[in-house]
Amino acid sequence: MTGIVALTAITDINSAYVEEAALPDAILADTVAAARKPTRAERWESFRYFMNNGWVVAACCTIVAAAVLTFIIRAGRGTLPSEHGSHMTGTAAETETETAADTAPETEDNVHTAYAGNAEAQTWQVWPGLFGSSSGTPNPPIPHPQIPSVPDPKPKPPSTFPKFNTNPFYGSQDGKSGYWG
Amino acid sequence: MQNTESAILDLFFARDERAIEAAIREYGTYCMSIAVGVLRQTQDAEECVNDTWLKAWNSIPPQRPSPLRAWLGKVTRNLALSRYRYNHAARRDSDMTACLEELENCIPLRDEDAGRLPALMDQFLGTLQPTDRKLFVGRYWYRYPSSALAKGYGLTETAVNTRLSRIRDRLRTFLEKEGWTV
Repeated sequence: MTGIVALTAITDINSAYVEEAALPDAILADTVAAARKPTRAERWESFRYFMNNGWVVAACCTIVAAAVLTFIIRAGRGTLPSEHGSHMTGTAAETETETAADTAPETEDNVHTAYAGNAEAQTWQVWPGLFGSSSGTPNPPIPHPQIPSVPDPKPKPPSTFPKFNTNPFYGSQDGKSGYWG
Repeated sequence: MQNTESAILDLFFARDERAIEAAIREYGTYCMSIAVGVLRQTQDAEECVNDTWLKAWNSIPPQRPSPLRAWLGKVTRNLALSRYRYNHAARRDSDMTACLEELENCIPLRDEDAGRLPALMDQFLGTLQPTDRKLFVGRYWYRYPSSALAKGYGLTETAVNTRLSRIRDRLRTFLEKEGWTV
């Protein structure tokens, strides 16, 4: 506590030096106000002010929070729009069936026909065109990536299980007539 | 200002309670800033300032301090330092610690040496330029924050801190010349 002793000791310096170093009251008032904690009434008043005037800020915060929450939920489900604008779930891709309409060149009519005939597969197609083309027609689904098959490095040992002989003449003496012939 | 001071002192000597009201009106912010500078919280600072008015009431008369403002400031400062010691007997306040460490680096002293220091400090302050003296006293006597000093003297905070550092170096050199082991 040497410092505090020094601080106490220099209290008794010449009063003239003390007088000349005093800052104006305006600056001192700012210093005092900065150290002052708001009273309970002041905190309540600021809260009321926010409630009266801060509803726009609160609404914006709610919208942003909802957007973030939606993003997180959709990211968890894997239903975020892809890079190409397709809005496809894994389920929809797996249940997609090859129909005549699918193989035919896409026109305005047969696109509607194809998706109308496959109600389960089109569950992902909530708002066609929302994330994809602006014309309202859905974008083609993205094909699954082809995973190359890896050859088995170990050769399989020969099976010792006896094979069933499908020769109808098996067991015949002359090789022409069998058990049944 | 001198008229106001003597009017307040006259009220004290007349044992008129309006003396306290006038002193609060005239020197309240000044004393409060000193107490807040040491304690950094308003509750204790307000108590210190109230104790200052009580001390003034009990001391005037017979004393007739002049200048009254500086005398009230010293009383407030001593009360605030006592409260600070009481509050921080075991733990240390980071803001105050910075100021104390700055002083410790240039004024290493024991309690028994403290009596010699004010005279030496007066001597040292007399060698400084007015602005440097005001900065030093403002920082270590009033415990003004650097931002307030910068605002008061039209400097940047960096400039204030740099000048204070140089003044501390000069103080250390001065005390070493006077036979103090720093």
